[in-house]
Amino acid sequence: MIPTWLPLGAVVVFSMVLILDPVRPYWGPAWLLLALPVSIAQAGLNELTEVVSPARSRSRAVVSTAIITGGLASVLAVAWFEDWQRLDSMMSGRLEAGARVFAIDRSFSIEVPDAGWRKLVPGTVGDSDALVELASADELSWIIGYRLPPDGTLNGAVLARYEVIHSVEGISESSDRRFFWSPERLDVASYATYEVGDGRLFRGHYEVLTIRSEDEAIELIGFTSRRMEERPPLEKMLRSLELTDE
Amino acid sequence: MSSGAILPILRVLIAGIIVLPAAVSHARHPEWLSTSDSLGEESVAPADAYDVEPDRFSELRDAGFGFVELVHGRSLQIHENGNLKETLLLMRHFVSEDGVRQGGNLQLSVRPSVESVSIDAAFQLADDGSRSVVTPASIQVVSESSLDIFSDSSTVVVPYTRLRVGSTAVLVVTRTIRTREWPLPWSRIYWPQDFVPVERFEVDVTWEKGVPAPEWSSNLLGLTCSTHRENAMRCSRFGIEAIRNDPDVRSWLDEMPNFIVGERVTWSEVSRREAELVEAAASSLAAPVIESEGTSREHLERIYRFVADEIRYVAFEAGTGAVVPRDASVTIERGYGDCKDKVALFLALARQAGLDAYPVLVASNRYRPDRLIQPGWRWFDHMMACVEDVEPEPICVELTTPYAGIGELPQELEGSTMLELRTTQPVGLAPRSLHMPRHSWRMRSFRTSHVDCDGNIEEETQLQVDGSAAVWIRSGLNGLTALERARWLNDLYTEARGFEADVEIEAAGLDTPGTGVRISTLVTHKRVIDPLRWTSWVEREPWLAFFAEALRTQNRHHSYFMRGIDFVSQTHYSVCPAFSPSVAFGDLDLRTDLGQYVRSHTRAERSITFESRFSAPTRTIEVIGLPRFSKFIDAVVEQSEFGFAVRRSE
Repeated sequence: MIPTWLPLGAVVVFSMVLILDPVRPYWGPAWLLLALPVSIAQAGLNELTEVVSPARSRSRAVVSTAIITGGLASVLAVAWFEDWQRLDSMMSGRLEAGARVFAIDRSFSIEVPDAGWRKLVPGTVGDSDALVELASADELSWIIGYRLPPDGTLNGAVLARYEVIHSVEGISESSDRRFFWSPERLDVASYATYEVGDGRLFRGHYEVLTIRSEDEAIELIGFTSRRMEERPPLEKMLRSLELTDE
Repeated sequence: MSSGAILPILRVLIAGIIVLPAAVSHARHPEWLSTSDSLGEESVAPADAYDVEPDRFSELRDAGFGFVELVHGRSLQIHENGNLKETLLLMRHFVSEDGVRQGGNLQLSVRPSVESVSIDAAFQLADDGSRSVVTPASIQVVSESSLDIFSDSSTVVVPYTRLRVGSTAVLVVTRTIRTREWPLPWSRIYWPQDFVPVERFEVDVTWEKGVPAPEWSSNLLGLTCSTHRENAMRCSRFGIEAIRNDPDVRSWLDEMPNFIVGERVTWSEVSRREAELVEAAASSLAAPVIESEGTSREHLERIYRFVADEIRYVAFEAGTGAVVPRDASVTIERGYGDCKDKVALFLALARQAGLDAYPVLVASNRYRPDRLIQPGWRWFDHMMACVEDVEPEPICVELTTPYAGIGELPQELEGSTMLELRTTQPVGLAPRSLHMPRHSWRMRSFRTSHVDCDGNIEEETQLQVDGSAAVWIRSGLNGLTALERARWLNDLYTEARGFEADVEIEAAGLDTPGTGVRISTLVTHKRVIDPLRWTSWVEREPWLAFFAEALRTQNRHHSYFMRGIDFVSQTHYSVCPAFSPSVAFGDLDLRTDLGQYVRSHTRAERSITFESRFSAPTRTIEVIGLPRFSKFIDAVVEQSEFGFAVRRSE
């Protein structure tokens, strides 16, 4: 038999740790609430074992309790290692047309215009500080969202991205256009496109939306190596950006 | 009336704080100034003037005020003989040492040709109740003449030498004004609100039997008025807050409320009375002076240039000379005159040439006709001339500056309040605004930059400035020596560019008003490009950013008047045949209700050309819209940058 306090104690400890999670602080209270029925169930199981099946069922009860506790611990471990995204991705599979995908901190979202896109674990394609990543079904196109350092300028961010892309892949053609993302708030945004590669062995097409406002700085990078006529609507996806505080 | 004739008087009355210039007279006072034998007569101060909440003074000190006006009282008696007897009572309480330094002198402006002044009381009360009387010999009389403007107007300054924190300065002055010696209807304008709090403002007006009741108006909120006898009225208000200061207020005269009392006249009457004076002066010129061939526009140009350039601006404003123009024949013979003298001459010459010209009174620092709350000439301090039928809209010309062309006005006159002067009285004549251009600053910038094969950039820029900004630059630079001018231009370039450079810079068009001012620069930036490798760098449109920065405001309490700007720019980059240029960023489409900034580029094999336009129309931005306006300017300044890359051709 497993004492009632053991799963309860384990859940409470995990919950306290999860409360500290800055991205999903609601996990902690959620697990705390879950601990109550688990503890009640464990207490009931212990009582049943004592009354109904003193000898043979005791071992079963230990096994079942171990399964419950182990399963619970596994789920908590998944949450603990912040791997929920992977689970979520595996569970949900491809995104529906019109689905809105949020950054992991929910500070912004973009809309997926057609089916076939799927959400990746941030860091799969881009750097580990990516907030959202999407890939097309054929994995020839992807979108990454970053938050930029708060103390930079829009021009600095655009030039930095231009230099990075050029240094890695060589820019053959580029364009950049500035506009007010929000006419009322007068936040300036940049929409840039870059053609990279030599056009024979490799070619690629980047589209980058960069927005810097008083309280947010977001860069969305879209890429496709598909031919022009087969390209996904990257611009539509990037321009569907919605900042959560707007 | 010259631009300097009225404003100094008003400013003295409003602020009452100036540093005394060296030219002062001592001890013996002019005959128009007398002092009472009992300057310490304490009964003149209202006993309840000191009934102030105990914490009030410490609150004021904490709020940053150095002194407070306990009482600002005016008592006006209108006599049947046409004289006005106006008694001024000022009680100023000091709450800090700074206040003593800033406001320790009380003063008033006097026009001795028609006024005499008697100082009835001048003493200070310490917080312990002790009283010290101002010594008559310490009272100073200061001339109000300034460069090119000579006047008999004087400022009487009463220094309170024993002031301490907690003291109260008391001044009672009686002014006698002989209105029948003045050719225009009389009026008195008071300023009940100031940059310091006024605890009590009072006006008493009485008029003798047989004298027509005066007309009075005020736009001070909360002023309570009553007619307590058949021939007397009284207005008062307690606890008038200080006007909140801001750095970019277009016109304090418009912001500050007034109380005006004067003869009951219409604007048409004011117009007619002054017009008759001007027309009489204009009609004195018999023989044609200016060649009369050519189009109306050419006539206008010749006459304008003659009066603006050949007749020197010198103003003798003594007596009625402040409002009565000299005969045109006298002005042309002397070769100098003030604004109204020049207007009379201009009218005479224009009419000889068949032009339909007329004079206008101008309030050069007022821009809201609705703030002229009652007809009177005292609102105005300047005179100009307008001509019809040369252009679709009347052209108004400023004759006192040689730096403006036809259609150009100095900035302070654009949109200022004016009153047409007509001897025939059109119905409904009222003050209105002079033309305010949609874009007061008009500029064109042409820049060519060549990147040579060693990576140096040779940059040549030509900035063309038109409109009132050209008048401003021309008048500023023409007063300087060649060395000072070169230094000014270099400083301007450094400020615009953001760094010092060994630049060749020169200005053209300074002596040809109406053609714009052109500032040309030539500079070489060494080794900006590494000729061996791909290099990116950020450039900017320096003049555009410079003038956009100039639009910024730190106002927090008052609306901001933004002069419209239209800046068109072309930047052409060419590179050595070994290089290939590309653009990292630079195209803009920033459009908003506040203005727009657009830029596009065209690229050839060895060159890139940017065409841009920053345009923001003249407008008043209310306080609530100022943060958004600042953000617009931020965006324009940041986006004045564009990014390049150059690589060696393969």
